[in-house]
Amino acid sequence: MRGEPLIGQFLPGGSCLHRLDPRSKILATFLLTIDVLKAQWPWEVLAMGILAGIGTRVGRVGLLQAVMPLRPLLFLILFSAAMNLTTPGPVWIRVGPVGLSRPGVLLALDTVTRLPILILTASLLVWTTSPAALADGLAAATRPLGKLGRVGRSVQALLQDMVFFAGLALRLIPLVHHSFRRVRQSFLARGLEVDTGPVKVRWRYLADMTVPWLVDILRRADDISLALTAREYRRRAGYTLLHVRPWRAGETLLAIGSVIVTLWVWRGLLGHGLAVLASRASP
Amino acid sequence: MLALHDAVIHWKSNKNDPPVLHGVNVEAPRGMWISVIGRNGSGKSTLLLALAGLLPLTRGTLTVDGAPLGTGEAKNPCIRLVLGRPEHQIIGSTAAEDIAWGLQLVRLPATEIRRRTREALEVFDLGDVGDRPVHLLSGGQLQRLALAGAWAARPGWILLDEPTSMLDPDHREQVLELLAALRDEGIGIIQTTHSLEETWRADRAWLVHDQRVFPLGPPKPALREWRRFAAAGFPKPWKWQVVDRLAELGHRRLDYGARWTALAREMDLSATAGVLPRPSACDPRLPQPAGQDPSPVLRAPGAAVRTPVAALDRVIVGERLEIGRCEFQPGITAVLGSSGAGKTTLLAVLTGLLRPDAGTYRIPEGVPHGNSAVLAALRRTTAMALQFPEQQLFAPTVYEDVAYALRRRGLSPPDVDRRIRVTARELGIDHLLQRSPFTLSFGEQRKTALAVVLALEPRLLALDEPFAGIDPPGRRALALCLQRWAARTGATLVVATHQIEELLGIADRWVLLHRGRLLAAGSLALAAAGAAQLESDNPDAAARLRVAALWTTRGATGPVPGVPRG
Repeated sequence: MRGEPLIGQFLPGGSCLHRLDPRSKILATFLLTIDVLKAQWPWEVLAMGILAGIGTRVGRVGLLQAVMPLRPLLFLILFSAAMNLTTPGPVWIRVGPVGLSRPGVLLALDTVTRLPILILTASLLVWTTSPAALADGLAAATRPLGKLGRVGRSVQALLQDMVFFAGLALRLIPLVHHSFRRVRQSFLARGLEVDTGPVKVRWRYLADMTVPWLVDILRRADDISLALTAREYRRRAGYTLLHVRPWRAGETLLAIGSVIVTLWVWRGLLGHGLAVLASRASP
Repeated sequence: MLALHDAVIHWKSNKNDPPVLHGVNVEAPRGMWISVIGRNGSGKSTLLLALAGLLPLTRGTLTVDGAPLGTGEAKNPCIRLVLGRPEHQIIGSTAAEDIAWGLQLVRLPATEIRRRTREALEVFDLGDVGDRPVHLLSGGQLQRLALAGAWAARPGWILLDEPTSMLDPDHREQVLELLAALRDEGIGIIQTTHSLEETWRADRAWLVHDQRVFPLGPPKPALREWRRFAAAGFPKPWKWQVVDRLAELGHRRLDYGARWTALAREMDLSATAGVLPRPSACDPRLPQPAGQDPSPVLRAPGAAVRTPVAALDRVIVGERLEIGRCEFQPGITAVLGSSGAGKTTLLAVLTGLLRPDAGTYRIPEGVPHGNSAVLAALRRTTAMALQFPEQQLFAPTVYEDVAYALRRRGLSPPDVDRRIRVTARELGIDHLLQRSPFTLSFGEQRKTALAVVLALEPRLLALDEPFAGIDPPGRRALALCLQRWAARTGATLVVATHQIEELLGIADRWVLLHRGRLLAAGSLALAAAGAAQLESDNPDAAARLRVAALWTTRGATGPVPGVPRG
């Protein structure tokens, strides 16, 4: 029950992906997730999938750990795929009473492959970057703002706080999950038919459990805020950026690599743009 | 010098309520270990928050070396507060990150942060788990991590809120030794506790009682002034009763701070000399459980053979539990073992929360796993209170909280009402039924949370550390309530605890676990014999068990701590 992989959970390790500067990884993830959305189905999406697969290998993320976070999202993925199946068009395959159109099937297949690849690409960042490093990387990105005078500095401090709390929220996902498990266990321990009863009863218990769950989360939030204050966290005070390292060859390579992939995915638009420019240059 | 002068302290913003503490005049020098003792809800934690500068004073001043906190010299981070629950204050995802994070906030240079983090991990023996996710650390490791994070900031004072209340005897000893070492380094330690034994080891004792803080000076002379503690509700600790009794029996007088191992040695000497009777492995007063592994079958002559309420046969749960054979009968069974010994896992298997990976778990109706009718029967007839059950309270009133599960189980309204009133009377919380559980004191909340499961009147009830975090008089009262309840309902009560002294004279059977295996099950004497195998890993826990076994034989004690059986 411990160590169960959860979505957005940092997996400590010493791979070269782990060691890279968070800023370069944030940049690469930003570019690549957009690329996954833009990529043409099927070959470009597949290529992005292979890239993500290589990333998981390089980051030494186990297959199980990579697949488990998809479990809670499976319903969402299947649901959107099913919705896509209903796309109108000439009937292509007939399954019993249901006729499926060719665009519908293709769109559904597209969803089923693209969404997991998107999640995998984004997860790579959080798997290999601890929330603290992530927050540091984002905070470092706000640094130029500090040079823009008083307003810039206060905006920077605000952004740093937001980034800090976003990192904290990531880190606290296991706590929220754990808290729900505890509430569920305590319901089970009182002999309530949370898991053995009829479906209707189970749903009612699920609704009943939200109140103690919320109470427990709020209590923990209270504790954490006290712990933050006790360790001298002050709003807008800023902090040392520990996980931001000097830019080295690895970071440059990653950044250039993701830019090249982006250029490749957007080559159509790029080619179009170039053609437009060329036609303007030579009237 | 960290000092509060003429302070009046209110909790948060409720200035209209009576103050939590008033007339507080205390001084804590560097390099001194101060132990703050007081009952649940006396205001110990509030005092610590005020000393850490986290709670604004209604009146009075908080000074560091003569200057008010936050000005001049006192501006540097000089006070670190370690909260009672380590898992609620660790922010980093790994141990190293958490320590570093505290230093990032005080804006040290990055190289200095790395150096101090490495050093802290080493000093607190966390080197090999520095990069492990914090949710995989054990309770003892988390406690050390919290201390390491405080230490790395090079504070003048570390304030700790009940750092030992959830630890087993051996981890407790480790933490206390760590505190002594920090004190010797020149750090001021202020630690709250319920245990007079811990106070004994500190340099100064403060008593929090009746909205006042009494600095009592060095603990040894102070504790001889016994009436003061008795008036504040603290009975003489079991350990000291043992020390006194040994002195009466003509032994050299041991110090109250003596290790349990020393006490066990002295008691053994007494037993060998024949001053104390040896405990017999088969005390005829106690019904013996049938067929236990690894101890031989022992049954009092004439005791009837009963079908067990629960029987485990070659049960394996992952790496956490592996039990050959163990049966549970009506009465009170104490489950002992250090942290990670598998106590909670055993309770979860007994109540059907966990399904064993291998082996059979049998109740009178049959084998529940794989048969939904029997599983439903298991859920109906068993209940469990998880650790810190008061965290699960949620209803607007105590009455509603207790009533919730009863109603959901389909009892008729008059039945629900009757059960609630009977249980509340038994636990002594009948005057609180219309209060909100969130406004109750800690001890009252615990009782309410236990009332929730006691009112279900299950055939088998498992309690996980019901005494954790409760002060000694509260523990005593709770143990007696549980005894009354078990006698009335004739249920099987299984209690996992580190506090064996609370169950002496109350538990009928003892189960000793170690690293997921059953060392002994049966009378206390059997458990103590089994404790010999604990010696190398948990010397203090083993010694406590041996003392307990000798203590409960007739003749060893004056009165058994608590009431005589019956």
